[in-house]
Amino acid sequence: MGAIDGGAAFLRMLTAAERRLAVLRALTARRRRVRRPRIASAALAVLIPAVLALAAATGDGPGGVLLAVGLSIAVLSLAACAALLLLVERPLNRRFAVEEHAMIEEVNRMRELFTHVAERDRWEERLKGSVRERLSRFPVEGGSLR
Amino acid sequence: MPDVWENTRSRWESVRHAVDGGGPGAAVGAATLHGRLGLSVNPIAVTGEAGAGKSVLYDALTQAIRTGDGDSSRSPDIEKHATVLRSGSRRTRAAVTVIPGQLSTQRERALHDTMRGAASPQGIVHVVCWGHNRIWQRGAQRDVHDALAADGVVDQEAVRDWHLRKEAADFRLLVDAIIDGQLATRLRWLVVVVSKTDLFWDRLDEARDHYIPGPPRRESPFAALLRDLENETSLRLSVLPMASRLIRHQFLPGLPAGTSQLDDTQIGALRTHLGQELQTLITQRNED
Ligand SMILES: Nc1nc2c(ncn2[C@@H]2O[C@H](COP(=O)(O)OP(=O)(O)OP(=O)(O)O)[C@@H](O)[C@H]2O)c(=O)[nH]1
Ligand SMILES: [Mg+2]
Repeated sequence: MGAIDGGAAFLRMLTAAERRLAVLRALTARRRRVRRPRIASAALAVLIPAVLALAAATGDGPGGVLLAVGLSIAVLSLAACAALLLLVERPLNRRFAVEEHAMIEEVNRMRELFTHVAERDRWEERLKGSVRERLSRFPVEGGSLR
Repeated sequence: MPDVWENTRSRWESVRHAVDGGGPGAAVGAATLHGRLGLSVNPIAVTGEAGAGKSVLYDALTQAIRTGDGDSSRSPDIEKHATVLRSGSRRTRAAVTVIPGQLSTQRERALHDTMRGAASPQGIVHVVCWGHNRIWQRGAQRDVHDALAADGVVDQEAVRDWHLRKEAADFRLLVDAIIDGQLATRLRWLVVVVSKTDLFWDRLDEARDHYIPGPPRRESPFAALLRDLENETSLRLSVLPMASRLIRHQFLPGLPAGTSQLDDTQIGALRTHLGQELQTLITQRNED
C-alpha cells in the first residue's frame, strides 16, 4: 500500500476502495447463492438415512433396491456438500476476508487523513462534502457486510 | 449581565479547584449514571471524534469501570443505553446514544436515528481531548507520522495540532448543522466535555483557553465555533474538564508516553461535577 501524498492520491485510493466495496457486495451475493445448494445437500445427506432408519425401525423396512438408491443419494449429497464447502465456499470466504480487510484498512487511513489532505489542497466545500459522503458509505469494521 | 463565557470559565475553575483539593469535594450529592432499563425519556447524544474518549466517558459516568479492566477499543457501531441519573434523591431517566466518531454507514445510521428529521436529542455531550485522540490503527499512525514529517518535526505538539484541526473540522459540521436547523432540532443544551485532562492537568489553562471563548486575543477555531453557537442559538452551553480513567497515552509509536497526573479520588471529583452538571441540564429542560 502506497503513501497518500496528496489530494490526487487520496481520491485515487477512494475510488479503489469503492471498487473493492462493489466487489465485496458481489461476493456476498455469490456466497449466498452457493450456500443454498450446500445446505440442501447437507440436509439430504442427513434426512435420507434418518428416514430409512425410521422406516426400518417402525415397519418391515424399505426394500433392498430402495435402500441402495436412498443410501447412494445420501452419499452423493454428502460428497456434493463437502465439495461445495471446500472448493467453492471456503475460497470465496477467504477472498472475501482478504478484500474486506484491505478495504477497511485503506478507508481507516483515509478517515484519518481526510481533514489534513482537504486543508492542504484547499478543497472546496463541495468536494469535501462529497468525499465525506463517499467515506460514509463504508463500514467501520469488518463483519457488517456479511 | 455577566458574560456567559466568564461564567463558563469560573465554573471550569471551580471544578479545577475542587480537584486540586481546595473546594467542595466529590462528596456533594454524588451524581452518577446507573445502567438501568427504563423509558427512553431525555434522549442524549454523545458525539466527538474517533478515539476522543466517548465510550470510556460513558462507562465512567455509569461507574462501569473497575481497576484492572482492559482498555477500550474502536467502537464498531452505535452504543445505546437507557440509564438513570441520580443526584442525591433526584432521579432522572436518560437514553444515551454514543455516535461513532468515524465517517461510516454506522455513523450515518446513528445520526439518522437520533438526530435527523423528527428525531432529536435534548442534549449533546460533545467529547474532545485537546489533541490526545487515540489512533486505533497502525497504518493510520504511520500515515500521520509521514504527513507530519513531510511538513517538519514529528513531536507531540505536532500530533496534538493534527488532532485539534480534525476536532475543529468535526465540530464545525455539528455546529453548522445545528445552526442551520438540519440536525437536532429540539436540542436544548450542549456540553463540551474536555476529556483525558489527567494527561495534561499541568497545562489545563491552555486547554481551557483553547475551548472556552475568552479574552479575544487569539481565539481558537473551536472557541470561535462555540461563540457562533451561542450567538445563533438559544442553547445552554457548558464546557467542563473531565478524566474518565487513568491510562497512559502515546501520541505515536516512537514518541515518549505520557502518564496520568491525577489519582482516583481526583477523577472521582471530576466525574461528580460532570454528573451534577448533566443532572442540572436535564432537569432544567423538564421544568421549562
Ligand atoms: N488517560 C486517559 N485516557 C482515556 C480517557 N478517556 C479515554 N481514554 C483512552 O482513550 C482511548 C479512546 O477512548 P474511547 O472511549 O474508546 O474512544 P471513543 O471516543 O469511543 O472512540 P471511537 O469508538 O473510535 O469513536 C482509549 O484507549 C481510552 O482508554 C481519559 O479520561 N484519560
Ligand atoms: Mg467508542
